Amino acid sequence: MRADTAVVFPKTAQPNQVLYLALFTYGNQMSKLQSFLPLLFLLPFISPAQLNLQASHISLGYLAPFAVYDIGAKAGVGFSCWQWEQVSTGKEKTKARIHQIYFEPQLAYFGQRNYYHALWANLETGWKWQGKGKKRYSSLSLGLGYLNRSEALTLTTHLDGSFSVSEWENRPAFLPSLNYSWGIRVYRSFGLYTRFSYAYQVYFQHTNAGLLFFELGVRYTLLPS
Amino acid sequence: MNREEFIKKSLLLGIGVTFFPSVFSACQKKDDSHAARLHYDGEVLIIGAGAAGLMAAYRLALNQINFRILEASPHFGGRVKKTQDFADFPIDLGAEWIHDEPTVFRDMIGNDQVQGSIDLIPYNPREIKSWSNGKLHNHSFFSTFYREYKFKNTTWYDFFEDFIVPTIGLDNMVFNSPVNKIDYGGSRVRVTTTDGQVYEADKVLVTASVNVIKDGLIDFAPALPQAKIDALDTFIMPDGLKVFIQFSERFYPDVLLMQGLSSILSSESEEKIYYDAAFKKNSSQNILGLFTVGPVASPFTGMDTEQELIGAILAELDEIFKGKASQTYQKHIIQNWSKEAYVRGSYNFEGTAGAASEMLKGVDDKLYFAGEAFSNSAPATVHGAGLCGFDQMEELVR
Repeated sequence: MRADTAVVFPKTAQPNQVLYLALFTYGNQMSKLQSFLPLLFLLPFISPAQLNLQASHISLGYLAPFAVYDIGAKAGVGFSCWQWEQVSTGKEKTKARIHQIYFEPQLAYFGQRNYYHALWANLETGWKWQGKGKKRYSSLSLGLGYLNRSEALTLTTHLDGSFSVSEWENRPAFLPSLNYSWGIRVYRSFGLYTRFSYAYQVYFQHTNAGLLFFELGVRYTLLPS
Repeated sequence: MNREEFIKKSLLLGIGVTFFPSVFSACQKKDDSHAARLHYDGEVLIIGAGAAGLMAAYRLALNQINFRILEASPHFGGRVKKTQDFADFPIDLGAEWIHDEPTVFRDMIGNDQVQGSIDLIPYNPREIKSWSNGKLHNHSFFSTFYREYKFKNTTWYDFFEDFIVPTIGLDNMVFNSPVNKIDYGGSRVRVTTTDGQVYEADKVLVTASVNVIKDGLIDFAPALPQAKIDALDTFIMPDGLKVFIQFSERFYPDVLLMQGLSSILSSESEEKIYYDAAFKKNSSQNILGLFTVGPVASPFTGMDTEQELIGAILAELDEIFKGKASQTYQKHIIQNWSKEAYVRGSYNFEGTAGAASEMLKGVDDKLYFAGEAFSNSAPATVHGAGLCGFDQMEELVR
């Protein structure tokens, strides 16, 4: 731990401090991303009793895979696992930053008319950081999701101009994702966020393929800032 | 619009265009005038039984106007052609993709009372790769950009055979009749075929390919106005080839771009792709298609023998797939459009804006042109050609 950096645990938080400090010390010697990854991987192995789970936010977004005809929506409820404050003392002023480790179960739909529909259940684990008293925040997260994609195999078009998909095929897949979000509190607990994600469709029987998502949505913060 | 234009326009409009489907449909939807009744007491000769010629004849037939089609080859369809025997599904040897919404067939038939349905494949290949610098590159993320359709168990040829030709009537088509002279200097137009047969009509619609006209296979008397000749010169109709190969196993992706991903968006008059021709078809066979146009096609289209051509293709595939092509090759079929005597190429790329409009103007109120090259709304497509012929009849009888 650097001499000019202090960690302040909020009174409500009850993390496994030994594990946390070990990870934080390790993390301080590496870049933010590198320190973030082991935290995420270790998180599932920590018993829920060690975490201080609180619903922290609700998000609702317009979801568009990186294509012009795909649209969708995503809803999620975030839970704060750990939250801590990092105070950095510089030469002239002291900076405080709030960090939060959270996970967020999400449910999403996206599709392309006449081509496919996809339902996506996702569990996202992330690290959010925000300057104390600031409106803007960023977060980096990893997701592991299950995707059920219904692929249109046959579309029947009638000569009167009507048409409909007449044959579908379900294609299940895993959908791991890496996400970067940026958000801003607009009014009290209400905020806007945008998110960019790279996901990789790992199909059981079909060809794997990458996906780029763009998401724009609203976020309602449940925890006091 | 063709595929390149469609994708470019999609990218320009950006994410969320699905909210505004009418942006596209409005551009393509025919107005009421397409169903308008036409009145004409004279006789019309149509040169060419491709998509434009057939749709022109279809409209005349619907309006009980006298017409006759002179077709150079032994069959109708032009660059719409199929084979039923090669695989366990019919294969389009010519135009294959539907570069528009599924309602395009309603637009072409133009009559809501006509009953029938067509099964289509929503064409969105999942596995897209390109071959460049001796390496295969994966572009599967690009699959969602694709938004086209293909026929499921039928072909473009079947569409014309089932829904258009019955109204026209085969009796109104004269096959094996290449036209070599059109004399429109008199009160009536005199059309002469290579066997010396002379046909007379009040008006003529020429739907022969641009290269047939540019190569002088048809002698116009008097000569075409300079404006027409200048307009024709701006069209480029490069070489074109389609090959289908059956393999005992599938070693190829859904789409293999031979010129990199950028070739999809390029407006260059060339394209070369290998593709899974059985994609989403009810087929147990492994059929790989090769579709190539432009300068990249020319080395293939110029080969003297079929063996030489298939050998070159297998060698190319062997290099990419480490010998798999030769090991699993079973049979092939080749459609060399450049060597079709009355086609002489693939499809057109317009060089100058306004050239199509110029070509659609009648000459002396007797000579008219139509075809995929001259479609303002959807050049280089079957439906563009068809609707161009259909629309041009309104101009012709005005």
